[in-house]
Amino acid sequence: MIATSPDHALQVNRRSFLGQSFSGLGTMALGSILARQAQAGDAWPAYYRDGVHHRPRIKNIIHLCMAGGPSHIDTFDPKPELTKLHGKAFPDSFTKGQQLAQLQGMKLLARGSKSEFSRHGESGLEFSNSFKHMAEVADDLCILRGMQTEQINHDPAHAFMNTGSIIKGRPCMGSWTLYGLGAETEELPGYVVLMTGGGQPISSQQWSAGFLPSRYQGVLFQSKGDAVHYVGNPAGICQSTQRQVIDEIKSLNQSLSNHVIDRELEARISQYEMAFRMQTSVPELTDIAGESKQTMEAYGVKEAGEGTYAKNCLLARRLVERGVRFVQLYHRGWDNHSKLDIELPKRIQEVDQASAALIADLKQRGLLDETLIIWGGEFGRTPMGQGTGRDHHINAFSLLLAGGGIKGGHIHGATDELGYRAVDGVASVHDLHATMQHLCGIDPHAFTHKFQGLEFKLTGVEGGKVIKDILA
Amino acid sequence: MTCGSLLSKKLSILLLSSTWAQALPEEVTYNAHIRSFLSDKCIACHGPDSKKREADLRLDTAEGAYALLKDKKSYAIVPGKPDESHIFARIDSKDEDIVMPPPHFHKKITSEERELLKRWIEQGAKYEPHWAYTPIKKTAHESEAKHPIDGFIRDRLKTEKLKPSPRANHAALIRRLSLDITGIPPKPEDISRFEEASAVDPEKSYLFEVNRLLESPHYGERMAVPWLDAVRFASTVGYHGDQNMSIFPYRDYVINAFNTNKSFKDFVTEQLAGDLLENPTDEQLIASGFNRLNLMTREGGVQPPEYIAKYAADRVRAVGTAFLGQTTGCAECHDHKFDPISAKDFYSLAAFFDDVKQWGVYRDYAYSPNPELKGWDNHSPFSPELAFQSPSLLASIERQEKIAVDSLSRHKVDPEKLKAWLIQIRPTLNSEDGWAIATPTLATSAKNTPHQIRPDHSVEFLGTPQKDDLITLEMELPHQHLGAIRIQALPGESGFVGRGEKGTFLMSGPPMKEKKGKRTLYSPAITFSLRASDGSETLIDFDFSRADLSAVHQWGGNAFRSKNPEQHWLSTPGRWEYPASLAQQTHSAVLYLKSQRLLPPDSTLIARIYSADIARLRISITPFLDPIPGRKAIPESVFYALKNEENPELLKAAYHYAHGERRRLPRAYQNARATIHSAQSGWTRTLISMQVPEQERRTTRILPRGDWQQTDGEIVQPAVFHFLPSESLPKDRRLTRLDLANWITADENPLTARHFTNRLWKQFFGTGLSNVLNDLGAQGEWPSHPKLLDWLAADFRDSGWDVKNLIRTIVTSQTYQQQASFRSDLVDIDPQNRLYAQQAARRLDAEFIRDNALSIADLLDTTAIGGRSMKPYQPAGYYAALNFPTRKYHSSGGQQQYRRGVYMHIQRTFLHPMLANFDAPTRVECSADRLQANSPQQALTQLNDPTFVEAARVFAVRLLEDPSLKTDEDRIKAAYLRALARSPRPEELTSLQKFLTIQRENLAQKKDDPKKFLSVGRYRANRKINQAELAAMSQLCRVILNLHETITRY
Repeated sequence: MIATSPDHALQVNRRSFLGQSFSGLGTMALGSILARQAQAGDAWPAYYRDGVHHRPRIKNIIHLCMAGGPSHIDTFDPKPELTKLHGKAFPDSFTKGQQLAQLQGMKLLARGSKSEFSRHGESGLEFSNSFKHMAEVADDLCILRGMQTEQINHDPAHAFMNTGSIIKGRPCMGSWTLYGLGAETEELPGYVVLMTGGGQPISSQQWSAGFLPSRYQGVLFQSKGDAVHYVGNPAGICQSTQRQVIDEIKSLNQSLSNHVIDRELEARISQYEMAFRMQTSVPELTDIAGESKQTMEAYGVKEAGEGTYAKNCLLARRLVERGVRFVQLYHRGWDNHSKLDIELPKRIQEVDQASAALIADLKQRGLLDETLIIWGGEFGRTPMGQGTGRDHHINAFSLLLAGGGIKGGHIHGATDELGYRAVDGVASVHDLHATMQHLCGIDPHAFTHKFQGLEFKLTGVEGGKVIKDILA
Repeated sequence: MTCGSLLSKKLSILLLSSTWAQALPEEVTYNAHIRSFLSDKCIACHGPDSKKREADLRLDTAEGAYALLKDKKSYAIVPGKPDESHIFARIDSKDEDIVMPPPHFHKKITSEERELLKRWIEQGAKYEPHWAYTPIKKTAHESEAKHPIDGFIRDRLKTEKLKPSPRANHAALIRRLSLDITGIPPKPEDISRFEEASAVDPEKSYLFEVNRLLESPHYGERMAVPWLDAVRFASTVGYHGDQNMSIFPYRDYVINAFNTNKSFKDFVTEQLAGDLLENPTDEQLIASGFNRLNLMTREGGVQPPEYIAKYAADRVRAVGTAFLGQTTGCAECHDHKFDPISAKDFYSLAAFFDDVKQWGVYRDYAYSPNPELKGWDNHSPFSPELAFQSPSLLASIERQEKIAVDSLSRHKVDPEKLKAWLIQIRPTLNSEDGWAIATPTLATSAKNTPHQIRPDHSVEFLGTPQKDDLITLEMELPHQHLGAIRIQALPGESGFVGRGEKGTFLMSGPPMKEKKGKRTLYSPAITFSLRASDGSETLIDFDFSRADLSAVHQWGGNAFRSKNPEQHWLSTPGRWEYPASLAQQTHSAVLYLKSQRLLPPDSTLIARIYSADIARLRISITPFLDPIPGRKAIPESVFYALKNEENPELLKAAYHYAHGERRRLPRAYQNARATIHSAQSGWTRTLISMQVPEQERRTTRILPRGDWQQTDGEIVQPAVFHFLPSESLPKDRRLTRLDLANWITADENPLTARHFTNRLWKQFFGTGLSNVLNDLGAQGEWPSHPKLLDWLAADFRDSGWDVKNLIRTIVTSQTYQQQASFRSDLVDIDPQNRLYAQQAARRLDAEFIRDNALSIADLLDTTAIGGRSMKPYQPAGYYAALNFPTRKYHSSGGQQQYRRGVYMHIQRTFLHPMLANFDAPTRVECSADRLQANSPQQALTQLNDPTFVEAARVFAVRLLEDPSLKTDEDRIKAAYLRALARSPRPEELTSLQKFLTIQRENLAQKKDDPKKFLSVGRYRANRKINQAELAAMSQLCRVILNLHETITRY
């Protein structure tokens, strides 16, 4: 049910290679692999030249989602005026008629940040000193201080961040990306989700393909058991027996094709082949024993078997190296309604080193240029205190970007003096999506999918605007 | 999918190709030729959405298109005069600022479309109303076929110059029918019966099978799946903590409605407005749970009005998708861009549900106080609920009792002991139900509550509740054999079981001094002790306790079932629990001893019960250890045998019921017993619609751009779509949900019958007649056979909405019975089989892939219809990201594990991976269709999911245990018959024989570990089977279960 307009670049490209064969993975996957083989030495597969709307800057996206909503005020958006107002009534002029979450109906007091801020890197980006390691890659970072969202509670806010809509059943940005570009691997899922931390629940709806075909859904790698569901052979079955079973299925399926004309049959045959390959490539991917001690230390991974954010960052690099299109890391526990001064530093400590290491590692391997990293939560937190913490906040929050096509050492946008509302360089989630797609070489306004009679796009009915100021 | 979509593009060209290929059609009509591209390319800006209309030009109505343009001199369309129609100047312009559609819209009018437009204008530019909004008309077909379906299909085939296909062979037909109607493949005996009978009278035997399958209880289970998709039925609430809700009785209702062939009209009415019917039955109230299937939240910090708005929009989308085939969702924020649904229509539809009792947040928080739910926590129900005795749970108790009795009857007893016991026990059997009433000799109340001992040996307490009252009863024992004690709370003088406000009671002990951590401990509410003749008193130790009726504050919990049995007993109805008459119904609780005690003859039984408001009590004892509260002390059959001292087998069972140390009794008994206890005497709860009093009714306003914070929008009253006929509705009063239901199934409603018929057609042909199943609106698809769809829809409506009749009509057509997927001449002409010149392959839907595998392995539990959800094997840790509360997943044990997919637990935020991989919807939104994709995860699931691995192993066990199968060839043939309803072809047979040999060699070389492999899943096979042989055969069965043909119906 692909229904982009006929003159659409992606569509034209899809048609041209689907005429020849069928891939059970991402639509463009097979085409891209063929192209990559044909154009060995060229960093950009041929379809990037011919298929996409304009020259792309990135191939891969890694979304480091700090789930729960990190406080922008205590991390990347210093607000000295707020500190001066600490403990006093928060000015009514800011909050009148505004939506609040748990602070509804309560007395609102300003809460200054306890974090210490300084300028980092040659570019002198000002953010909290708690991010010791991020400080070292400051010149690669672009801070979006003018972000806003529309949803004040976790589940819908994540949904909005992922799908650009709060109505359930819409495809998420990872699925859209995979749907548009396919993946450059046949042996791994093209869109992988990893999760650590505790706290607010995260629904698998967040990586759902919605109304797109299910093969574009994110695959959550499990920290226990098989990384991908059912990727391990049944207990007691060795690889060669499994191969024999698959070969026998294949041969009988092939013989069926002499008797029926069923267009799904060929797809089924290749599906089993790919399944078998996944059975070897997933364990190979998740086994990090071969990584150097230096690398492990850089990320802060202590044991190969651990299920930490650091390990997931390392896996993220391994995933994009292998051609996985979209990687999403959720690290939960940023919902600091209380004990912010204790909990927030803990979260920062859990993610700081590995997030920075990922950027540095990708850079060192020449992959940062073709990867977009997004770091941040689903919303921000109130400049008003809520006991020992802060409440959810949608009028302003900060995101970090790094990677291909993005200005490093750059700050875009600003909030008012109290960090309450984005006032300059205001960017919506749809704008973020538009920028992301633009970097991929996709025209956000033209990349649509028809469902229930309507043409949907990630950037919503009105569309988003590419944030041009941050493009390098 | 991609392939499919490209093919479908080709097809849409093809569908018009008979005309285009040669020339333009003789007659170009708006509906058949113009509407779809006009809608796709022009209407978003020149259509119904008044706020977005460009240049004030509207092209979806004649009035708009013929009107004078803004330039005051030209017209977009001049009927009959293409030269004067300004529309072409804009389409043809090379100027980017002038050309239409504008370049940024990324759509162009093709040259074919331009020609069609031109001819249409030449022929008068006659607008037609959208097909789905016109009255359903029954017209005649032209071809001579007897069956109307064949008639309409052949009319079209004739114009396409195609011939229909011959009938499929008998085995293929019976497999097709079985999978389509019941979702379960035929057994070998079904195939041979049908083949034999067909040799005599093919038509009669076919009809016999059709009727047999339609009468099968598995028909309802099969039909329920697409309906449950359409209404987004799930086990959990979907938002945030995604807590469980108790709603399985609604699923039972749906299954039962299909099985009893309830008129679809009543089906609609009961779901939308069952609670508004006069004296609604339990069944009708259960059906009204439909209005409660929206996602709900219990998250702290969310704003109740925001979620009230979400729930309202969710319901409007549900009505659109489930009943009407309309995408109402867009109109939440603005007038629909393509269909005439306005924002006012949207909110007017929402207003029908203003009277449904609900809360924005199902909990009481400091920041969003909700005193009505004070004390609610993450385990509490999603009220309001109906408490009732579920027929499926009662049936399950009956079934399990039989298994338990059967198991105990076969368990050995020392005949001498049995004989002695039968003599001993005789005096205890005087009662009707195996319970002997203890006679109270003295009753006291710590608070001097007036009371009296009644002739039936109950003690009645009178007057207002007395806080901290402690009641003490002293009783004579009716006999000395003590296995369990029963407390009955009987309706008192007032007719109620309690003296509390609503006639309820609470038994609850005072807090104790010591604490467990921070938690307050309470003294037991109920204790029993025995006083010996010397005056010494000893407490009776109980193992556990159960009550048939007790209010739940915790979902799925029973307050009266803690390990500390005597803790707490609150009578029904609890808060937001219905019906109120529960408080007039006898409540029974049973306290179980670990093993039977023989009491000294002169003991006195003493009960001490803390209750301020109990009305009337009676205590009984029984020698049996395992009575179900509210029922006889032992199963009826055993009790009867015991009374009459007949049937030695049952007497053995009776002996065990009185003596068995539970853990030493057979496993079958223990499993049955666990199931019986979990069925809670048949009592359960289910979410229902409850109408709030008029003064509490919500007010629905149009929310500009769907923003719930805008509170100044126009107030709307319940109303149906303004653009559809509604003459049957009353005009003089506020409309209700009942009116909505009546309108949905009114004769004048053009959508409902078309929508249901179209979806049903897909079940039998793999595609809908209009193949955008969830949208019959302008952006949907012009049906391939509009007259056929209308004929069927009209027939369905006029038959009294008889679903089975509609299915019978479909499957008795020759079109349905054609051979499938074999015609090479159709590959290019009709790849999606939209002309129905043959039957099409249809991959089974997720649940049925599982049912099919289990059924082939003869592992599927088909004995029970309905009941609680089952939890299949699931990868460990899958729910790790859930919280509030955290979840531990325990896969179901016993037969429950092998129940049909329709009963699977649906966690909305984490759909079971097997369902997700095979494209089942997550049930967060209503879905009138399932997309099917093809992914390696499907192969991984079938290869490695323990459910399928176990099924393969049990399949192998069946083949090896069947004494009639002697050779590999016999077994392969039998396996093929079970899985594919056919014999293996010679090359398949040879290949599998060779495969088996290799597997045996592997095992001889010890490459695999059969012991590990053979222990996947809970099923335990007979150990006498050669394990290596079983392992080898299991690999063969894995191959067969994984075949494309196995999961495809041809």
